[in-house]
Amino acid sequence: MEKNIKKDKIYTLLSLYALIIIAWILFLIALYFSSLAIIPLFSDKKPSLIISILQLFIGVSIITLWLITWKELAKIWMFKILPKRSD
Amino acid sequence: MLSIKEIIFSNIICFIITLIIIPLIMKISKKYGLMGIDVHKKNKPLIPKIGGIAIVSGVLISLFIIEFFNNFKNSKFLAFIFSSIIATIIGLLEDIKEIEPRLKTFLTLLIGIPFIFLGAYTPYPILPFIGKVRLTIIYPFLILLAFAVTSNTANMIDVLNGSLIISYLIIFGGSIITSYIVGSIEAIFISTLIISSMIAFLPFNIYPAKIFVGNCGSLFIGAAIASIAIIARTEVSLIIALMPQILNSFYILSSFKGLKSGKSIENRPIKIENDMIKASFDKNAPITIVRLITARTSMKENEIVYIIALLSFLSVFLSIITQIFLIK
Repeated sequence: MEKNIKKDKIYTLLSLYALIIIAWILFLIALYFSSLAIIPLFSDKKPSLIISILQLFIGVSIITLWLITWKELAKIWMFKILPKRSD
Repeated sequence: MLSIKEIIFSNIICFIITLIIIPLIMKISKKYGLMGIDVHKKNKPLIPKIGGIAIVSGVLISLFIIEFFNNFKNSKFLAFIFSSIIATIIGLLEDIKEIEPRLKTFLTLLIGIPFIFLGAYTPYPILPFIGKVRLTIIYPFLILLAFAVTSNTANMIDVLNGSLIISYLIIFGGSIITSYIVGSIEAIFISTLIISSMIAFLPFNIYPAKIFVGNCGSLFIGAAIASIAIIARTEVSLIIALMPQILNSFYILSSFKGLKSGKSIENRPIKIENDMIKASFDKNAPITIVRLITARTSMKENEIVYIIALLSFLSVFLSIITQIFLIK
């Protein structure tokens, strides 16, 4: 019984480690692509206002997409990966 | 430039001041009824709830002494002191009389103002893969946002005895390493002061707690981590170090569909039976870090805090990896 509880705790920890590592990788990817979208805004050349707003919108959308993905992943972890089958 | 002697001396002062102030705060809390219920215990004891004042006092008094001898020349330290005072006052107001959640969020946006007014920032954050970017117009707005996010994030993880202090001890430990990598002595110094103060406070806050950190302490600690990120220019690595805490606050906010008080939520994320905490499987309950940890098996409060600490260890490790290998 006690051995099973210990196993459950280790399983929980490792599952959450996996979630954090996935979130970290997705964060780096999101940051990379949003930076690519936003960087031209800060160059010395002045692009048109519409293009600038569009680039900013794309950058913010990528980060928002990351947050939504992260939330959906957490739901999968909460209801599918972490609980025991009997739950 | 700070000498090693000054750093050691101020850390000792900080540790002693915190230790001296804790019993005083306990007496003041009892005298004025500033007590919080320890909801995860069977007998629901009343605990003094403004313990964070001891941490703030230890850090700020020792920093003030150092600044006094340096004729208040360092604008970064001054910005940190003023921001910390604003965060503590907002937290204290919340501890005395609950503030409406939207007003509280607005007030936390003000914590970063001293950094903007004193110009204690560099608007060129260094991003992974890409390097330095120029954000001269947006950066001041990001400062305000960063303080609101980090202070509320720290506030939301302070749900179990020792959960805030233990996880943030690890995060501030990590910030010493990342600040060392970028060569920011100011950020290292502030981190060590906060660690000294939190080490003095920990025996009183760990399970079973004799004193709570309170909103005054949690908002201060959250604001301090944002200050360090801005001073050292380690913004990205600190976001990574804070991932379990950000995850927790983001899930809560998105589950609540807006800014609401935690006490007003009908579908509780956890259940407590015989001092054991177990996740609720109600689909409408907010997904919190404690709920995720207890989804497989029920755990004692101190066991959950131990797992939160281990998660913080991983995120801090990832932040250091990012700082060393990906940020040039």
